[in-house]
Amino acid sequence: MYELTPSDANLLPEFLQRERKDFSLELRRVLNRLRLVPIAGREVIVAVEPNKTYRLVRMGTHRGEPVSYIDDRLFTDHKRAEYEILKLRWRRLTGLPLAGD
Amino acid sequence: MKIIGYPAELIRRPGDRAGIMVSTDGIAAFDAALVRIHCGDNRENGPGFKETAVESCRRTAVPGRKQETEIGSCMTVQPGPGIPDGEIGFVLNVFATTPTKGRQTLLARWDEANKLGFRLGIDGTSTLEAEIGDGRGAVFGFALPHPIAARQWTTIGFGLSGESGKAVLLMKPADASGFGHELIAASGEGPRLGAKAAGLALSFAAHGTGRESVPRMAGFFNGRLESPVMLARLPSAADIEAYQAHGPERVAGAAGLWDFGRDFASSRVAEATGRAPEGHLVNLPARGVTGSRWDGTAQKFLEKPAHYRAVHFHDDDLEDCAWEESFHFDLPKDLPSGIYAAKLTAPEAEHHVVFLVDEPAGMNRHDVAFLASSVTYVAYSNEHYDFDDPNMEMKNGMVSTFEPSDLYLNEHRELGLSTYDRHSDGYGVFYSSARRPLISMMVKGRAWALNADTHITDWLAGRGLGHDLITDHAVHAEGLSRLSRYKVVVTGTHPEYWTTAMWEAMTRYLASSGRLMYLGGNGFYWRTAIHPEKPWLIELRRAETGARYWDSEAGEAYMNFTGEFGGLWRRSAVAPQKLVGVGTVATGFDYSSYYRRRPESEDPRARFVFAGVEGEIIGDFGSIGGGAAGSEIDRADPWLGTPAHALILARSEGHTRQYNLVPEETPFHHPTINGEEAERCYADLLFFETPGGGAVFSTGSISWAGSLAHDGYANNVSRITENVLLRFADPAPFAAPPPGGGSAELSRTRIDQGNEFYAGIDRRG
Repeated sequence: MYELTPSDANLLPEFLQRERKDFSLELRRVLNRLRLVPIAGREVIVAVEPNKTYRLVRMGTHRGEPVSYIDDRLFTDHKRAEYEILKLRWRRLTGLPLAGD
Repeated sequence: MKIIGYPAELIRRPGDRAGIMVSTDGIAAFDAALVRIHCGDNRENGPGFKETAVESCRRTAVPGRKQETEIGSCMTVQPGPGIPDGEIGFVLNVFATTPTKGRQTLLARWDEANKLGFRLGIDGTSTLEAEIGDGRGAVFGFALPHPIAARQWTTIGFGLSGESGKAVLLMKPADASGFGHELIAASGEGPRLGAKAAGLALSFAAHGTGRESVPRMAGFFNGRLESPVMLARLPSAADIEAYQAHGPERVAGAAGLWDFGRDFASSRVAEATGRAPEGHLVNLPARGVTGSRWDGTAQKFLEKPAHYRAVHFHDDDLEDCAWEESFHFDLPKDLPSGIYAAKLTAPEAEHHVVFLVDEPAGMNRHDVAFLASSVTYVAYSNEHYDFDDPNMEMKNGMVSTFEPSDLYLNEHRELGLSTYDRHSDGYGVFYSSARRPLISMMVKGRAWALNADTHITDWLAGRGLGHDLITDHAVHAEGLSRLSRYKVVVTGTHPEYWTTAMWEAMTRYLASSGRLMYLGGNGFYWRTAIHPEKPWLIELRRAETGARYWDSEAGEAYMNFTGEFGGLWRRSAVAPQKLVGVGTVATGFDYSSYYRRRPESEDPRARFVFAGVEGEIIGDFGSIGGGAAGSEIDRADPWLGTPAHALILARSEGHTRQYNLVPEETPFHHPTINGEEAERCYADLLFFETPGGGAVFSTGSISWAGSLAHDGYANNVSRITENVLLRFADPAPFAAPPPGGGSAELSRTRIDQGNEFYAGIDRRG
């Protein structure tokens, strides 16, 4: 399994700057690692109003448990919400905040 | 969701009674209207939600109430003189898959409310425990000193005397390898039951709650039980030895033997001694699974039934929600066939209960039939993979994003699993039932399966192209006669699950001048079974290979509904390339791409396809991933049966790294199996004629239909589709193709293809 390094933090802003299909291979590797977190307690997104508004939530620890809201923020840009999730997972996996976090 | 429901029958016909089951949460009454769904996709980039009401079918102020579902499988044996009241004993094999997951019952004659009877179970810490209660407060419990091993066949003996109160418990692992396979026993003295429990049913894999309403059963067991033997005495070590060494028939003096090695499709379990009542399986536990004697010498349960005398029970099995009907519509006799819904409305609540209205047998009102993928719709219901599979984010290439209906499904596990899911003990789900709310068939949800197929019905309506709707289930039941009334059959976006009868009907249709438009991807993929007596149930096995979310266990590739080999059609008999020219090559869910026309599109045989179409690029737009070639894509392959005379008219390109070849396309994995780097990751737009003047047109892409409505249907995907539909509806036969008239790459022999590995794969046909 790929281990994140502190310098990988420099790659994450690319997530917002580029189209998903144009992501660098280096960013893709980081994203893959950030997707490899356990389901229990995983940070994900709920479309409060499908395709319009989004909130950040945390999954339960067992099958069937409800998700819980992480904060009160309401996003209208799905990619921005996704980036906030990636930041939370980054912090969880590395113990470090992202620069500008 | 405060209101939810399901149709009594997923498929109805004009003139039928359409019963609707509804459960509400805090809603005292609701209104219901019958609507025809033309387009279920309400996303801003889609065609928009479109429905029309059938004015004669309305209900007002229908009383609402919460309806409960009993989930979890077991076997029950009704009380009667065949079940001993004096001394009673049992010997059976147990394969516990979650022995630490709470208290689970192996067998019981038990009323939990009154603590009456006896119950044998696992206590949640792998310890085998028994309890005996007299219904008046005296409960005696005892346990074995050593735990039962997880996923190891173990022979259990249990018995008690209703007269003396003596009880015994025996356990011996059936697998003699390893350590700790000696017999372990415990005994004690409990209350004297006499005949106090005589009115209680015997149950296996769960116990009775003593309630008249849901939940009637509790303590559901995860794991396998092998044909239980009942005795009119306490079991002994000799009985354990006899069962292990020679099978249940060799246990002396059996008063009952429920043989799981017969009638594999039935919910009735034969009783082999003739002395006890038969058993009834509740909620569809898995059959045709290996038992303790399975040694690999047979792969099919019918060949050596004694190796398959097991039933796999789960605490999340579900056959039928069994809700009470809330109301019904009498469908007009002249109702057009189509996708319909009972639209339920209440203040701040709305829900469409979707069902299909099939064209009546023996008639048609149009020359074009839209073949609704009803088997596929059931197979996807109710999938939980985004919640339960840790790799789905990796597959989707983005953070999981749940809609309210997803959250509801996650929290309402009583609505059952889909064939994409694993049971709570990690084993794959074989069956799916239509008798429950089908979240995966909801409109105004994701553009997938039924909802995505409404892009086609929307387009047909939008272009004024009259059509009937027919269903997989009707083709399965009626065969060629269901298809042969039509000049053209149009598939949905994802006709993935096909029964043998459906396949044979389509083969015969194409051989008798039928015309098929395959407007999808990943079609004709899994061989599927419909239950012979309960058509609302389907079965599949994820055997051998294929893009799948679980693997069949060793020795369990055959479907117990039919006895057929399960898995991919490509591995069973005929690959989809032979039927429709293309077959699955890859899946990916980020971006869709476009097709580039090939010289064959100018071939006189296929010129009609591109009439009025300018330019080289087809479908670089659309509401699913932004292109007409995507999600799940298929390609031609002569090795697998693409006819040599077929014309590959266009081929997609530029797929992303999120696309990956399906396992059967790459027997071993390597770094260049993604859409960006793989040599053969593309969708083929293909046409070929069939003997008798028929023809096939295939798009090989799920997202094709998502492009139809672009720019008010004024686009090249719509034009191509309409060109084909109109020509296919024209009775003028297609002429036989000239020899060697197909795309050059389809004429290669097997030897050529072997050499191809040395010479390099063609890159431009």
